[in-house]
Amino acid sequence: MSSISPACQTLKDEYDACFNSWFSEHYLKGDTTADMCTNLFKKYQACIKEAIKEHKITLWELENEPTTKKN
Amino acid sequence: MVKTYISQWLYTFPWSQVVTGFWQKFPNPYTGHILSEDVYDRTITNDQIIITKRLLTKTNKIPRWGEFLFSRGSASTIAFIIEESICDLKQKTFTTVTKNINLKSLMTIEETCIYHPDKNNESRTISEKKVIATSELFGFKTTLETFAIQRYKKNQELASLGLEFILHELFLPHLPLPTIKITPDTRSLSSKLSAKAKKILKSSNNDSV
Repeated sequence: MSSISPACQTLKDEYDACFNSWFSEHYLKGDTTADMCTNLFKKYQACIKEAIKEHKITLWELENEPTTKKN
Repeated sequence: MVKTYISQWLYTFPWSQVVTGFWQKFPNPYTGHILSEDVYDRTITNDQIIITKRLLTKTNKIPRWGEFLFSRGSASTIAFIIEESICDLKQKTFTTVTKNINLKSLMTIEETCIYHPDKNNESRTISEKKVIATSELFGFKTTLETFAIQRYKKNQELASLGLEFILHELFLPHLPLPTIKITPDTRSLSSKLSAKAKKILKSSNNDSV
């Protein structure tokens, strides 16, 4: 599926593949340790945040950066 | 005053497969109007709950009588939608709340959907959907809310058919895929409304959003 920004497409595809694999093979089996895709997500998320700013979409979450564990 | 609509859908797949398929449901033959999908936030709590936020963009087809309500320029005909979801592995519930974040001066459509196993048969999953359409646009409130609900009824069916299609692809690859039903043109939904809308258009001076 396309990303909102073509610049983020490769990062999105890599992260989605990692997440889908983690979701089926770990999470659904009860193993919810979330480190497998963290790095990929950080890169993808940084790219998306830039794209969102370009589209001037106001997302309140982006203004208050959360500090919780991410995958 | 708002308009609401409640519906259910039954998937002949277990809950874990439905949620797995949910993340991979785009693109599919039924949702050509979805242009992009991005996860912009995701966290996992200590209770094995995944909280996800996705940004979707889609085309915003409107009937001819409504076209004058949109300012000129293509930007206003792309809808931006936020989908927030909570996946609770212990409770086996997957809840999504979806709403538009632009075009709000025209109308707001918020859909809540809960996916859970069928209590009588764990190999099946039920989704219960509720949508609320609200319009504050002076002179067009009822017309727009009615149109929004009618359009939603068709779109939510397409969304469910789309998810089913992907579930078949993922989990029953040895079987032939379900036949794709002809996608309806949402413009044809407006034929009943246009007579009433024409009356309003004649007497209203509103010409911009």
